[in-house]
Amino acid sequence: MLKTLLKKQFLELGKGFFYDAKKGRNRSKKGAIAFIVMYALLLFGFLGGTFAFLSYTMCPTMVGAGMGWMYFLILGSVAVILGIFGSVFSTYSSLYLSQDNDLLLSMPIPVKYILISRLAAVYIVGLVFSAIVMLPATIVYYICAPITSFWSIFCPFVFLVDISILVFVLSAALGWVVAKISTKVKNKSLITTAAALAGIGIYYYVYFKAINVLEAFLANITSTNIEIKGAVKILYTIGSAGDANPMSLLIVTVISLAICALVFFILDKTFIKIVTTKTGAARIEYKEKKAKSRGVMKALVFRETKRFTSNTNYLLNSGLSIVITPIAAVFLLIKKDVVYEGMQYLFTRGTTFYAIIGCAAIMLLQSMIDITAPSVSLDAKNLWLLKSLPVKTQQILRAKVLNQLMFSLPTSLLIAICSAIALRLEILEIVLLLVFTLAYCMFSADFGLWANLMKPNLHWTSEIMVIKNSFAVFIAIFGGWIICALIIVSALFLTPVIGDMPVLLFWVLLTVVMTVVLEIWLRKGGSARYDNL
Amino acid sequence: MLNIEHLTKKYGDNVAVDDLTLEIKSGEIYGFIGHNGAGKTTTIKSVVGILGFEGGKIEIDGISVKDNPLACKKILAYIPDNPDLFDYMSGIKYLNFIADVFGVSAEERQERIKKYADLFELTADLAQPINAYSHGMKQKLAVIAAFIHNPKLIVMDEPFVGLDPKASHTLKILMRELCDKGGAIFFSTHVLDVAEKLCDKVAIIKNGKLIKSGTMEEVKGDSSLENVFLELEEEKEGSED
Repeated sequence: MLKTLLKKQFLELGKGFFYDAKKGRNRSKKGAIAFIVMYALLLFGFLGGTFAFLSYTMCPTMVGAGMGWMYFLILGSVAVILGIFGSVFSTYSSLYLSQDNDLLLSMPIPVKYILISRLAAVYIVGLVFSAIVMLPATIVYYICAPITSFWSIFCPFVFLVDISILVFVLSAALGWVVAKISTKVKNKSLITTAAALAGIGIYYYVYFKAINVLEAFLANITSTNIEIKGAVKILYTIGSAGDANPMSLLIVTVISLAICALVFFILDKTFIKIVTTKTGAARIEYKEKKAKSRGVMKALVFRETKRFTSNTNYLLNSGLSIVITPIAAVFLLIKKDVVYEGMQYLFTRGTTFYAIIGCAAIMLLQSMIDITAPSVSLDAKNLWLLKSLPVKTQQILRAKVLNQLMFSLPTSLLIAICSAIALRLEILEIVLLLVFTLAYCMFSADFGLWANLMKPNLHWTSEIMVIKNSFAVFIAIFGGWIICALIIVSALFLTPVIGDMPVLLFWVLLTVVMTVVLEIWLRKGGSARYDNL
Repeated sequence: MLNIEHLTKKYGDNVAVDDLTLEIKSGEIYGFIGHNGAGKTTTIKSVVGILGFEGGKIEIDGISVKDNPLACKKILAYIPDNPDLFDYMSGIKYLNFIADVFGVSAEERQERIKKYADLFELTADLAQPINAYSHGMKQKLAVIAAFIHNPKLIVMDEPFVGLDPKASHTLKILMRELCDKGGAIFFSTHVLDVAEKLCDKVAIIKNGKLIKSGTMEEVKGDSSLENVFLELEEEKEGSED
């Protein structure tokens, strides 16, 4: 029975690979394989390649200096960050909000089995994301570090598994906290969003504290006989678990498994109660108010905004940067001198060059606002309603774009202005940075919509499948990151050849042109695609 | 009010509706019956502009659905068999959204929301999020939303499923009132007793083809609609064999 449930859960998880939602039928065997290979190449080729490069720059020096434990500690931390980013927001909904929970609970299936199958999917997602970092890190370690014993091979591999367990434990625990809060509060989405953000905040607090401890430790190294004690001892134990230290590995593995067992015990004891508790909120009695009318566009944008703000998963996964960007903007203003000096120290270049870097940074932040990317798939159940309304398809699509712009434009303009101040840009550079910001916000919204119209998923059983794990979202986020990487590469290697201003102008113009092209496509091709869904 | 001529709709090679012709006049409640998968929902979705179609034409109040879908949608309302509404909105916000899209003035919507929500005993729950509604409450909300812009034609797919007896009774009265004012109703149902008592005309469809239509008297004669329906189904099966 558990095997059947696991099979169902994994089929659901990998549905996008085997099922063509556009054509409404399964992909051919070749098509599915090609799709999986492409996805794996993007994840492990592009992203994994980046981490392989990072690992390769760190590993020989650190291992050579007897700091292999720090190599694993740093990359393990990065893996946990990425793993949590990949799975934490999906845990709550995939565990407690799956549409087939009622159906499964009505069947003669032990509740424990349902929970295990759901958790297995959570673990797999966390494993994939953490492996993007840890797999290249481990391979690089095998290549660069001397193989002195069996533990040199065994420890890094088991450490990879330990990291995936840690990601799983953190995701499951945070999902459980969010679920517990949801059963008791009135404004669920706001509270759960705040709780999740607080969870992330705590994690980063611990992370930066650890970095401080390490920095202090490194600053105080005066001899080769380093005394490792206090907080460093804990970090050392974690890191050395990967660096051929069997005792550390045993301690880390036992503790990871014990915490994992404890979390499972808690989840198991509370699962059915949380799933079957509708809400703790009091019933709201309707009191008639004077009605107000709005225009059609305003109403359509309101619908998009309402859906975005009332869904915790949607908010956290597609709008995290809405919170991060203003914080970054304020940081830039407060630390403007440090930022400017830092830029001068790193690049010793003119302000036009800094404007290019500013463009890339804004792009990186804005790529993480991908509200339009799952918006078409999320319409699945309501397509009948939208199609039966007397509105043009163009208006429906325009409302999706406007909704994203409502959130991305103010925050990105704010950080653009703060960047201009911090980087001491000239008037022309400020104008170009602002034009770029406006164009990129528009492009980003259009690009997400394009991705979803090209790859819609109208047959999901849990919203998180399209909000987090869909191809459209993947393309929207990583597409932006790839362009961001290209901007940086052009800044580093092209500006010495043709100058800073031509490169800046090129990216501003290209972004404007790409936005215009997408706008034209959305009006005709995009509308036609939506009509045919 | 609704003119369907030689409608043909295919899904790939499968013909879902085959050369269907129907005419629903102002003042008529027109029932549409058939077995599961007969082509009722496909026909209805084609009428309301959700699905395109390969052959024939559909006109609402003289306007072609294919050529001018927005004008048609403005004068009709559609209630589906499974009312998946915007779960993230409250009932009142949903009704206001529909009213905004159909351009209903603030005064008119206030009056109509009060009237219909009171009739369906949903007023107290209008502030609740739709995801907290039962199936019946969602169905009531879909019905209220259909009436909010005072449509000329209402197309309904199994409208009584999920409604409690009182709400069903209220809906039947409203359907009749709309037709008495010159509107028209086209709806599918499996509840033949309801169709028999409520409809002025009825059409029976099987495998996408119209097998009988006309006034209730013409179709059922002295027998019951249920008997006629079952006989026609058997006859058709016999002739197909």
